[in-house]
Amino acid sequence: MTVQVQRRPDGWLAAFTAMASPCEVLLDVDDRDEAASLGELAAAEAARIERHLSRYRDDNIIHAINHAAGRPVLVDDETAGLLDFADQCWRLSEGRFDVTSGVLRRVWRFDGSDRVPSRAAVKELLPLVGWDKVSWARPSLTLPVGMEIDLGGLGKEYAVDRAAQLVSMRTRAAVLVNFGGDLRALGARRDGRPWRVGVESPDAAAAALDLELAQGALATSGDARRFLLKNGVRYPHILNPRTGWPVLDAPRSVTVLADACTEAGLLATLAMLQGRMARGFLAEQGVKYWVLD
Amino acid sequence: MMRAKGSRRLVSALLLLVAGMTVGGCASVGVKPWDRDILARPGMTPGDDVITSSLDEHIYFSKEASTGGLGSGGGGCGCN
Amino acid sequence: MAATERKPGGLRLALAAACGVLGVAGAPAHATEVSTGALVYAEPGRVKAFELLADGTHEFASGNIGTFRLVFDALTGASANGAVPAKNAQTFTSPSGGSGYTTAAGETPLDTTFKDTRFAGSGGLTFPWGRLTKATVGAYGSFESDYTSLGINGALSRDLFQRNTTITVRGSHFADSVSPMGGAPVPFAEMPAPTPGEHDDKAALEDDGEGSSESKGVTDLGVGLTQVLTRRTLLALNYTGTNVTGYQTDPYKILSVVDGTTGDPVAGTGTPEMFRYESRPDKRSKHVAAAELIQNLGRDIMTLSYRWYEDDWGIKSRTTEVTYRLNFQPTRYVQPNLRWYHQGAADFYRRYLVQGQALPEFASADYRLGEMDAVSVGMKYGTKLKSGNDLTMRLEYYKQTGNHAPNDAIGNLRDLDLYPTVDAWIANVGLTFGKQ
Repeated sequence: MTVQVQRRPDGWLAAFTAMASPCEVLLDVDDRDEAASLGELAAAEAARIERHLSRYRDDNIIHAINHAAGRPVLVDDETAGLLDFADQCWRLSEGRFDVTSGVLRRVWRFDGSDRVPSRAAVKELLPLVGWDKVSWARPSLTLPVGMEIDLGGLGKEYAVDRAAQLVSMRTRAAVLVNFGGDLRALGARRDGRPWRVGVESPDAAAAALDLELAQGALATSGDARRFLLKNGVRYPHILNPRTGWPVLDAPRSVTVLADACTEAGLLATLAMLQGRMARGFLAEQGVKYWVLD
Repeated sequence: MMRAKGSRRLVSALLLLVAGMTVGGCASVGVKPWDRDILARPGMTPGDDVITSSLDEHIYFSKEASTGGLGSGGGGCGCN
Repeated sequence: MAATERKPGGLRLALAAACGVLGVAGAPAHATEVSTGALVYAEPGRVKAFELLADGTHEFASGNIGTFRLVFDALTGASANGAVPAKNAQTFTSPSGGSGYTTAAGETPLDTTFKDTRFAGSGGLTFPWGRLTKATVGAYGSFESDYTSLGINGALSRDLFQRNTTITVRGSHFADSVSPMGGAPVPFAEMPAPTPGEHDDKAALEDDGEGSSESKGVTDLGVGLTQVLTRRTLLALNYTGTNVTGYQTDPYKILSVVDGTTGDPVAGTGTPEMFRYESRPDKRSKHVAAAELIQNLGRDIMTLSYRWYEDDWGIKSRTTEVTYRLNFQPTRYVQPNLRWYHQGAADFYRRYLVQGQALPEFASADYRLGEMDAVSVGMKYGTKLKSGNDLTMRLEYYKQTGNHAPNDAIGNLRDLDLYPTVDAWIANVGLTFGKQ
């Protein structure tokens, strides 16, 4: 993995690519070598989590789980922690957030076309969706035959938090970790000023988000390029696992400011799943948010 | 003698209660680590407001014959 | 499906808690937290007290937690000296000698020369011992002009059953020394006559050959259990056994010696009334058990606590306390509290001594050792300031009542108030910095 280090007005920037996203680590340090080694640390952690959680590999725990053919799989501590977290999110969202909903992608491909699947095709998959059908007793996970899990919905934000924590354990300097727009800031810079954070809007026509952040995390859910359009109806890529159909009135994107990136990401995702209730839902949570319809 | 017996009874009753609860701890009692949101809220921890509770303790210590209880049992003073 | 928390922001709190479990918690709790408080205590016509307190916690990068506490308090005013009221005025000697003070006819004798300031400080260190056990060690010191207390303490606590249960074992030892103004009086010695013009006369007491300093040792051993019962309910149980050895007499408290028929004070040696210094046993063992239940009611929080206390001086007490935290806004609350306290008298408590009767082994007329009921009613208000700091304000009323007219009162004492009611007002403010 290549990590490029460049001088920036507000410190050193270490840049690399991971999880199909441009990743950046901004560091308020003077020494280039220190910045490079901290950047490599973050890059290595991002790569490790990607290897560990990717559903496109055949050598990791996700592959083992998804190919267990109904047998129980003993999972490692980190995966168990994420499954506990997913379990909690499933319950808090009354089943709207579901790590088993990935199989719906077999019929839903949000490629901008009009290929909306038939009701029958969706209905056929629903028996394979539902965290309540899974038997999870840490550390043992048993999926019914044909079901799959995908922790990718948590992966990037989790990687941001983990990388930020790893880096902050090695330095007292202020750090900003930004993986494709999901980011976390740890501490104000030495001159006392916060990090200046820009988040590109998913809609080119809308203004980018520009804010100052010293401590906290920002995550965005929504991708304006991933949708289907048929007979004038726009089908966004946010799927309700209980029906197998997209949440038609979901906003284009939701950005949430919270303490941890994983927390912000989940709040943004859960807000999307609320459809047009997204704003009210976010207001109730007492977080700062930006919604784009 | 009566008093000594009384306090011994009290202690055994407490120990029984403690034993029952800790055994129960495995099964129905208690919550999963991720269900601690409510317990983490302000006001849900014994001795939350250190300032008020220690000022109170000092007053009752000075005005009454009993001392101690849930607090850590402060130090002595000669206060009236 | 499990119940979903419906309170505004509850989902976010749950998510934040889940992030904590996942190990990616948000902004770490502030490494340093300092609370400060000030209190004014006033018994109209009697004692006034003023107290300042600072309490701090610092979490080191190593995971160790350091704590400190500093306390300053000042007391002035009048405090009951133990003598009974009489139908005539009575004259008393000040503890420091000098000209003494006079109590009007029918009034409860109060020592008006009462005045003290105290500094106390303590520090502690809590460090992990393995993954589930924490150890704490600490030291304490309290300093007054006539009283010094030095202590050490230690505790071990262990989390069990996914941290739903915490068991704590703790112990402490305090070494106290008392250097009463004018020296420690001989038990039951007669209070000498005032010596006008001499303000530092200790001769009368020191002649008795007593040292001017006495000592006391206090050892506490306790066990505690904190148990999460449900997602909304927490129970804390505690037992503490305390053993006190050494000087426990109050050197400033006296007993009236009265006539067995009239109940009037008898004349002393060179004094119009006879008063004897009190005497208490030099051993005391105490048992305290307490239970506290904290229940979340959705928005509000109710706390119930009960305390049993017994000691081998014959004192038994029961304390019940209820608080209700009404979270009327996310960051504001009012919290009324009610406390009932009842204590039975010490075996050797007596309101006075009778002329001609043999002196008991021990006797004290200290109202705090008598049978009493006390009620506290208070209201606390808490809010988060714009700066993020927490402010609390509280006003409390405390009333102590005892038996004004014991059945066995002798003669004229039947017409006098032998256990005056004590009223006190307590106001305090607290400010906590650096809390999330």
